[in-house]
This record gives sequence, structure tokens and C-alpha cells, in this order.
Amino acid sequence: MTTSATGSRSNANAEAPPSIELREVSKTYRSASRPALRDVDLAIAPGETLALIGGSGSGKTTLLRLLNRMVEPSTGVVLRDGQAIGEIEPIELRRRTGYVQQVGGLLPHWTVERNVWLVPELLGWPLADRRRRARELLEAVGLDPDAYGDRHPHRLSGGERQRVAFARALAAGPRTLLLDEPFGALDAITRDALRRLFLELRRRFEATTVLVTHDIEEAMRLGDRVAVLHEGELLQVARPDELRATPAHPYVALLLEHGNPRAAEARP
Amino acid sequence: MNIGARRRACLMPALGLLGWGLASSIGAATDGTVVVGSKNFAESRFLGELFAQAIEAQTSLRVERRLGLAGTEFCFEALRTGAIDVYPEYTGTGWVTLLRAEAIADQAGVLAGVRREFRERWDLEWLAPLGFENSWEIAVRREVAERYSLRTISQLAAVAGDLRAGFGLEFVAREDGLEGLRRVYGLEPGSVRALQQTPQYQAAREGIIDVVDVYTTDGRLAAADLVLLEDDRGFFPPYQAAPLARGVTLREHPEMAAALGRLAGALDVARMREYNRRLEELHEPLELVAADALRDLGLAGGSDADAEAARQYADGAREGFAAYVWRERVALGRRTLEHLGLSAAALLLGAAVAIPLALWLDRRGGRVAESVVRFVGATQTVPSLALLGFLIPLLGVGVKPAIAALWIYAIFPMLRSATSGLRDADPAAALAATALGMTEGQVLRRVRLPLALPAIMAGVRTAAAITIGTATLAAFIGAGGLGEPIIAGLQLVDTKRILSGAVPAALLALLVDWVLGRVERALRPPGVSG
Repeated sequence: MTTSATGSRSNANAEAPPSIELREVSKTYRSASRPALRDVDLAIAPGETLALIGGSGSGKTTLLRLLNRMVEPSTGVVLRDGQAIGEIEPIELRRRTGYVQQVGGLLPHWTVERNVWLVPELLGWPLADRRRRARELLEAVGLDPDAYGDRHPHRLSGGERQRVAFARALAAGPRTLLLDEPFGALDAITRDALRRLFLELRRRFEATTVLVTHDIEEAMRLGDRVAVLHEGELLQVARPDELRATPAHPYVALLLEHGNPRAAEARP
Repeated sequence: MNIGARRRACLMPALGLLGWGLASSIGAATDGTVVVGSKNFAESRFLGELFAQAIEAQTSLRVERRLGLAGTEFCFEALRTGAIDVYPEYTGTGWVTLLRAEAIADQAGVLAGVRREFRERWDLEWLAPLGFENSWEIAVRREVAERYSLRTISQLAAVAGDLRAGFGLEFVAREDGLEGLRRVYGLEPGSVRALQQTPQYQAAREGIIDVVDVYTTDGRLAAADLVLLEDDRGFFPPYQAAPLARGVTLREHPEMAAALGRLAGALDVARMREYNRRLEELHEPLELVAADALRDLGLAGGSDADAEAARQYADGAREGFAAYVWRERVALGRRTLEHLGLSAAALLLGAAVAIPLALWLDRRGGRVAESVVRFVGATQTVPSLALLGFLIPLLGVGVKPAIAALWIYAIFPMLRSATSGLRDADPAAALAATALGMTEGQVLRRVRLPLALPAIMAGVRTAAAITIGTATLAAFIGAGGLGEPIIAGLQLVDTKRILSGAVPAALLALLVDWVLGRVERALRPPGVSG
């Protein structure tokens, strides 16, 4: 650990517990030779967006899945709003945590509208409320509910699908949003539009967000802070300007120089 | 004598083992019904039908017919386990094939031997022989017989090097066939070809082969220009035809023993040849020929049904396929329904196992799932006739073992496609559904199962095609279906009859596939491609 991981945002209430906190968390998968995560300490303030950057095999997806109990830590604790998540029922925890993945997450046999109200449906909302909520969310992500609501995902473009995925993740008003490379599979123009949409949604919904990415520019642009993960270790957690000014590890410097982890790792 | 002894050698221990533990007396004569069986060639079917009519004419017993069972082992196991009460058998077959005794030529000795052994071992009774023997014989073309002045097999052996033989497949394979002739007579023909019976006669007629093996009672012998050679060293055991019955049944229904007893010595070789000729050459209906035989023996008058059959036969002797099918429409309709019933039952029972098993394996996962699928796959490699044979001691003959066998074959295609369908059903969607808080059950019911449905239905369609095709074999264990005309037709060399089963079976398979295709489309979730 090169940096104290207890960051706080100026606008966060200093007395509130971190929205998300990891204390000395390690994870070793069965049949794996080395840990996927090693002694990770991290705290994320309410409403903050943390961009988590790392190469493939760095442990970033593992870290993300620890936060909604899709993966359980080998040692250490994960807390949400001060409560150890081991005490929270995983199904309940996930229903109040938005989740967007890179591609293909929509249910292909459901309409766009039904995909959006998936979590409200699981929570037992009445149909009228679900429908109203789906309309709101589709408008919020820039899709006309009348034109898109009844379609099936296979009739959408890649960018439209990710918009629906964002609408679905936000439908039940989660206070936490987990994003696993949500712009990773899009072309440059669509990606830019989606990033702008993300910033707009963040202003509006104010959810604590963990954004996994392998693109340093994206991390610097979208994250309040950037966390650099390399081979299971958290090398540095800092605001983008701090990161650029004082990289705490040669790998971080390489990452800043080359723009993405693959190029940084290719260096001798 | 008509069934390969080799397969019996493999089946016998397994059948015995299963039989010991599990044989049950399904269908045994506990009420006023007796079950008559037969093997699947014309003469055996004829004798079975003759037994049935003789019992019906002379007693008040109800007779159920299970004619055309696949062969000696099927009939014997069915009789031993009580699935049938009586069937026509040959003493030589009992002696050589069932008791595996050394072949002897002494007719009375063989009869006394099988009577003693069958009674002691299995409580089975050989009733009085019917009067004819149906043995193997060696015959040569008349021209050849005259050229070499041949009367006996010994004389043939002396000149055999110059001659071409065409023997039946079974004769070539069996110890008491060509092998034994070589040993006993030193018979070494210049060349030996293995042929089916019908081509054998044709090849002899055209002078392509000189020496053939024939059955004594073959209806074609009269017309063929062949000379039968004397078995001067008594090599072939005597094959006297007789009813072989369960002791239990005979004690319970002595009237059945009496009725069959009246057939004792009633059929000589010439008569039997004539009946075989009418069945195999003229394709006369079995019931009609048997009724004539019974009348010839003075045991019963022709019934109205016989008269009707005779009239229909006279009308239809030269009819085409379409006319034949039209005349047989009621029977064919019944066969089709039987076929559909067998297939549907097997398919539903198969799905009831395969789909829950696939779901369980899906939860269980890993190596266990793989091994189970592989094990079930191995059942697929069991030859269908062998499987039917195994099932007789457990389930008797008729519909039950047929459905059981088809059920076993139906499971694998459905299991395999359901497991792979579940495994491959849009993993990203399942992951997202889990991440957003669906329970495992919800992910299965609402995401993975609907997405796996096209694959599952594809498996059901494959299973249906296999089941409908395999169900034609159900006729071998007396379960009816469209295999009945096919198998009977093959034995009676009657193409019309074969096609009248094969064509509807094929159409049925196509129709069912089409219907299931529609069902699949109707069930396929919108937005999912097949």
C-alpha cells in the first residue's frame, strides 16, 4: 500500500461512514496459484465515483463482485454503509445495487420495458408503478419509451443496449452502482455519447459508483478518484490531478504514459 | 433352429441372472385366458395361430396371441417367465440350443430327453409332436445329382470339391451347420457363399450354385428342381415340431392340453409344405390358412370370419399396393395408433426423467454431470434386440417391455440437449440477472430455461424420431405397432405388407417432427432465434 485509502470528498459528510469499505481484503480462488486480490484497503465516500483501472488479471472484476457478494472474500471484511456485508442477504444486497456489464446483459426474451423494470418486479412493485418507472428511466437514458419499450434487445444497436442496461441498473433507485467496463465494447462516437450520459445520470441519481475500466483517459475523466490495481494489489488511490502529478509506483507512471494497461505491461 | 445360437450364448447368463431375482409371473394363466406365442417366421406363426384356433374351437378359454416374437430366446424366456403359456418349438432346438446337449440323431431319445430336462428344470411340458420334422437338409440341383449319381451326403462329400455351395447365413455360422458337416462328413465344397434363403433358391434355379441347405417343410421345395440328400451318418438332430407349454397352465387348464393333444401326429411334411407355400408364395392370410388346416384335421368348421377372410383374399390376390392398404385400413389404423401410443408413452416418460435430471445435473455441475451424461449415452449403444431380450424376464412380453426399451433410448438425446442447452443459454444474461438480485431459482425459471427451450425441444424432436423408428422393433416382443406388418412381411416375403408398415411409420415420423417443430416455434420466447 503506497497511499492511504481512506479518501474523502469535500462535499461528503465527514461524519457519515464510507458508502463502501474494504479492510484487508484478500481473495484466492480455489485451484488458483496466486491470490486474485491481496490485502486491499479501500474506502469510497457516499456519492463518490471511483474509477478502478487495471489490466486483465489485475483483480478488478473480482473486487467489483466482492461488493455485491457475487464473490466472497477469503480474508478481510467488506462493509457497506458501515455494515459488514456478510450480514446482508446477498439477494437483498444485489437488488439495491445497480449493475452494468460490458456486453450482453439484457435478457433477450424480454422487451426493453420489462428489462428495465426487472428489479422493481423482483421487489414486487405494482405493474403501474413499474411501467411509469420504466418510462422515466428510458427517457433519462435518451430512448423514447413509445418507440423502444416493446422492442426486444436484438433489435437495438450496441449503444442503445447499454443505455437500456443503465436504465435497468437505476430502475429501483440503488444507492450504489457497479459498472464493469460498460463502455468497453462500443465504438468511439457511441462511447463518447454514453460517457456524457453517464456524467448526466450521476448528477441526477447521486449513487456511489465503482467504474471498472482499462482506459486511463476514461478513468481520469469520469472518476472522482482513480484506483490503480495491478496483479491483485492496489498501487495507488488518488484524485486524477494527484495521480498525474505524483504517480506512486512505476507501473502507474507507465500507465499514464501509455494510456492503457496492456501497453504499460508490454514495457520491459 | 432358426435363431443364431451365438447371441443366445451371450444373452443366456444375463437373462438367467435377471430372471433369478426378478422374474414375475405376468400374464400367467390365472383367469380364463391363455397366451399363445410364436417365433417370427411363417411356419411358427402358422402353428401359433393353429394352436390358438384349436384352443378357441374346443374350449371356452380366451386366447391372447403374441405371435412373431423375435426368436428362440425371446419365446423361451417369455414362456419360462410366464409371459406366454405355449408356443411351437422343435425338439432339436430344445436339445441343441436350449439344453446345449450334444446332437444325436435318435428321434425318440431327443424327445424323451427334452421332456425330462424341461420338466425338471423349468416345469415346462413338451406336448405330443405334431407329426412332421422340420430339419436342415442338404439338397443339390437335379442335374448335378444325376451327373454324379448323388443320393447321400457321403456321396456328395466325395465330389464336393468340384461344386459351388450357397448356404444360409445361420447355417454357415452354426456349430450344428456347416462346421459339423465338415467334421462328420469331411464336406469341403469348392466354394461357399453365405446367402439369404430366397436368393438361395433363385441362385440354384439359375445354376449359379449347386449345393444348398433347405428346411424340410419349405413350401418352395415342391416347385424347386432340387434333390434332397440322405443324412446317412445321422448328423442332423431330429427337429420334431410340438407345442411347448407351461406345466402350471396345463394343470390349471387340462382342457387346453386336450385341445392341443388332438393335433398330435396330425401334420405330415407334405401338408406343412403346402401350408408354408400358401403363406410364403401366395401370401394368403395366416388366419385363413390356419382355419383351413383345422378344418382339414376335422377339428372345427370355418367361422363367418374365416369365410369373410377367404372372400376378401379371393378379391384381393392381385391387387395393387393402394388397394391392399385400403383393404387393410382398419388393421393399419389400429397399428398406427398402437405405434403412436408406444412412442408417446416412451417419449413422455423419457422427458419426465431427462429434463429433471438435466436440471439436477445443472445444479450439481462438474465431473458428476459429465459422467452421468456419458453413462446414459452408453445405454444408447445397447443393441435394441438385446435390450428387448433383457427386459423379457423383468417385464414379460407385450407393451410394457416395449415402452421400457423405447424409454431408455429416448432419455439420452433429451438429456444431452437439455444439459448443453442450459449450459450455453446466454451466460451474460444469466450473470446480469444474478447480479441484479434474481435468486438461483428465478434465474433458472425466468432466464435460463426459456433461453434453453429451443435446444431442449430439438432434443425432444430427435428423441421422437428415434423412438418412432425404433418402435417398429416392438413387434418382436408382441407389442404390435407398425413393425408388425414390416416384420411379418419380411418373414412372408411380402413386399406389400412390408411397405404397408414402413410407409406409415415414415409418414408418422415426419408428421410428428412437423408438429413438434410447430410446438417449438410456439414455445420459443420472442426475440430468441432458434
